[in-house]
Amino acid sequence: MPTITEFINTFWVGSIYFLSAVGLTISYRVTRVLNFAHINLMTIGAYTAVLLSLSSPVHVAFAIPVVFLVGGIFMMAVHFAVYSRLMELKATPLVLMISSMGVWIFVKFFLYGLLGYLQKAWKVEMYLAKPRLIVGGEIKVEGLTLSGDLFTALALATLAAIFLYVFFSRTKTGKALRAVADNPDLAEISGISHSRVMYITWFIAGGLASLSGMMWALFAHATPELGDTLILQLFAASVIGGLYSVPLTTVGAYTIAAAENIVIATLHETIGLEVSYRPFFAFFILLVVILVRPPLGAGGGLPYRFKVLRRLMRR
Amino acid sequence: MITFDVIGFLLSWFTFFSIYAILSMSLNLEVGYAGMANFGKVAFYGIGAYVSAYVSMSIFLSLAGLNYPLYSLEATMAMVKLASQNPMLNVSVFILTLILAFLIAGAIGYVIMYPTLRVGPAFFGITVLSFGELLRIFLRHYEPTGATYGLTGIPHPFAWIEDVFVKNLLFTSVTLIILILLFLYAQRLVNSPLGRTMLAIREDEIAALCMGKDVPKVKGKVLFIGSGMAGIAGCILAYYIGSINPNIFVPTVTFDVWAMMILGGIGNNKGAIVGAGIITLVDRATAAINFVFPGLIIDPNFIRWMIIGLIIILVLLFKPAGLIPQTYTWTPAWKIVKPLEEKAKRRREKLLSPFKKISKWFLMGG
Amino acid sequence: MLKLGNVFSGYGKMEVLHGIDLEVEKGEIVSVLGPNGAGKSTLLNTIFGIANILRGSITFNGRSIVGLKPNQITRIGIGYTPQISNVFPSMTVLENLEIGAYHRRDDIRGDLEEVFQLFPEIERRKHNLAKTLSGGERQMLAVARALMAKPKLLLLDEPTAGLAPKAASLLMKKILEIRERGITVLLVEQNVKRALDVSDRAYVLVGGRIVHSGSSEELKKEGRFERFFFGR
Repeated sequence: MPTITEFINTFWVGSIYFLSAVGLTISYRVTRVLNFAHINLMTIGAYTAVLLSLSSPVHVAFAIPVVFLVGGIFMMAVHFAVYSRLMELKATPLVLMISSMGVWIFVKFFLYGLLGYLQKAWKVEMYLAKPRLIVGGEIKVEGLTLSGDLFTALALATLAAIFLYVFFSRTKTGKALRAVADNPDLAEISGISHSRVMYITWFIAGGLASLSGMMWALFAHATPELGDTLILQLFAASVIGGLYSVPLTTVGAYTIAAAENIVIATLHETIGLEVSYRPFFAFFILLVVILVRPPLGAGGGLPYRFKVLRRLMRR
Repeated sequence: MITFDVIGFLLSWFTFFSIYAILSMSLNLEVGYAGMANFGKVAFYGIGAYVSAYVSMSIFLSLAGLNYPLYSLEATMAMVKLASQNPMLNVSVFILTLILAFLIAGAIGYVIMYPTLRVGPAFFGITVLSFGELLRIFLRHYEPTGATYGLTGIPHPFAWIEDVFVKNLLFTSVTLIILILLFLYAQRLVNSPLGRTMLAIREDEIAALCMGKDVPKVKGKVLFIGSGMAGIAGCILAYYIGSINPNIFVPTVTFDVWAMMILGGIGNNKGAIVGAGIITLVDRATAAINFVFPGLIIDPNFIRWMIIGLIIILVLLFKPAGLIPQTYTWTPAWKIVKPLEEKAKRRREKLLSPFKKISKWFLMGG
Repeated sequence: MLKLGNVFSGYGKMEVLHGIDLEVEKGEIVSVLGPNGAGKSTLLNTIFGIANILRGSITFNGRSIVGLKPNQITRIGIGYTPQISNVFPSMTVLENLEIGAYHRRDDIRGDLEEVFQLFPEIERRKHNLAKTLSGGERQMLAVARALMAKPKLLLLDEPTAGLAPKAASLLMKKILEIRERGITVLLVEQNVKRALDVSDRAYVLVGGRIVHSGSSEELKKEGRFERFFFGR
């Protein structure tokens, strides 16, 4: 049977996935760019926290806004340098997706190079680091330690969810974002500046993703591959939300976290499945979702029927 | 003084060029012609490599009556001896595994088409990317193929030739011949009715459906052929480097191939090959730099990858059509239309030349 | 109020409009008539900075608006209702109207009341999603959304296209009401009779050129539209 640790980890990891996947969903919905550079953001967030706390530990309340700003500004810079120019050229979503892949690979190896340089120059281990953040609020219940990192992750996820709900349903800017997602040309005609909305969207998505990277670094540790190892989980969570719905993305994030902690622990004990097969669950969920409940429309799919399945069912 | 082996450099460049040209051509069939953004090319490349390594090593070991596990040191040691005994066996196993790699990688590509059929390009890209990543994780934990250490001692098809230079030369020319055959095949394919259907699907899926084209079937076919070609590339790689492990097949390989295709020109087989030539040259050159100047402060590998990323971005921004832009499909109708059109063009130019300004004004309607 | 002088425009390198001269005075309803492909929608897109303007001048209240972005043109007092996809389908009617008033900083409640007075049909459905509206309601919502920005000049692109005759004539009546509120209207229409009934003056646009213009009464009397619409 899964222990209480698995349940705790589900919420912990689920919150981290939520923070990142929700940014991916929002940015795809508003900007129509499937942003592979989102993966970099997690790494950047983690290493921003590491660099902040390099000489002396800093408090998490100080790190959070800094990491958010760095991620947001990075993504705005990427939009300024690449996406905005491609959008001006009226590029298709496919081209935007490919360009984001170019950004991903460039930034990833730029970080590798930079970290390698810092490692040599400062004589600090960089490829496997851990941010030294002061997080209070440790609770001990019946021999079980609930760390402050866990509470920070939960609090950030909750705050982000509340913020996004209020932002999209109550504020003028949030409604403008939804309007651009719905009908960008009409939004422009209604007096909404397209480029301003893009920058706001990237700022929010980038900030949330880099926060999630920081939280992951606290959960595990920061490596240059941090974001890359979480690709599957992130995209699966977003696909469950159809790259469209924020509530469903939340469901997706926690479902995948549950599958990766509770389900695998159960299977490990019953049939002896290796724990390292963890990513298979995310892929399995992804496949089931696109087979059973394909997110039509948002990504431009057509509702074909599966002839083979139908024939089998007839028999 | 380090002597620089020019011929060795050229041979290794040509081999890698052929492998990557096959890959980028197959990606071009999928992306450039059928509009399916395959971000998991590396998966089929890896499948091809693993299939050929596994099959060839099993055949050699079982023919010799040895019962070691493939990944064990004994098997590797035995392979070194076995590989240079029977020329006929070596070559026939090579051909057999080429075909097997094509079929198995293609079949898996065809199967992957099913779940992703009903979703758009974004979801297709994510699913295939995830599939590639997953395959690597699977191989890293799968004992029969050696887990993280992979398989070593894949019998080189020309291992019986003692002169290393002749051996490499022969292998390189064989890979080049395979590349040329595949190129001719791809050219024929894209200029056939199937190729035109692929273009129709890329431009407008609904319109293609309304023209009575079986879009899922065509997509499946394209993925079969594209993945199969990637499998062949993987097979050649396995024989060339002689040992494979899961860490060769990281997602970044896919981006390499994408960069080649984008640089050369999307929707053009020649472009894909030119792109592959340029980028493999850069690749080999950085490898040479790494060899000549060891201990640089920033690893040249990182710089190389940054260049790949930059190439993708810059080409999309400033020359979206690539080095060789897409041209018309060569259909039978063109054979009739093209000469007529050229004739008309020549006549028009002849007519226009003396009074170019006036006649232009006249044609524009004042 | 709005003045186009010798405007050449188009999309990319393709030129669609070849030298348009057009003038709209304050308080008028001016219609632009023409067959399909004459460049009517391109004309409105040109005014709104969506189509490329190659040559010529466009002034609004004496100020040149060439080169401004669409959102800036909305801010200086021109409203635009495109022909297709003119509502935000997955937002409620009320939110659609709020987006229409996006650039305004003052209180919009009074204007909401006014718009609902003008279009009581959509007030009933103000909490429904826009994609659930019928064609007529949707068209009214589109016009209402443009009115929420308090424009001085309203550009309407075939508001009655695809509507049943009854809904169409209702909408045309609303246009007269809009004029009574002091808003100038530039109306693009294919239905000649309906457009001439409401407008003061009309331009006939064929093949990217203005081939005829005059007051509605004159044009109605002349009745030579077959010539422009059918070529002969």
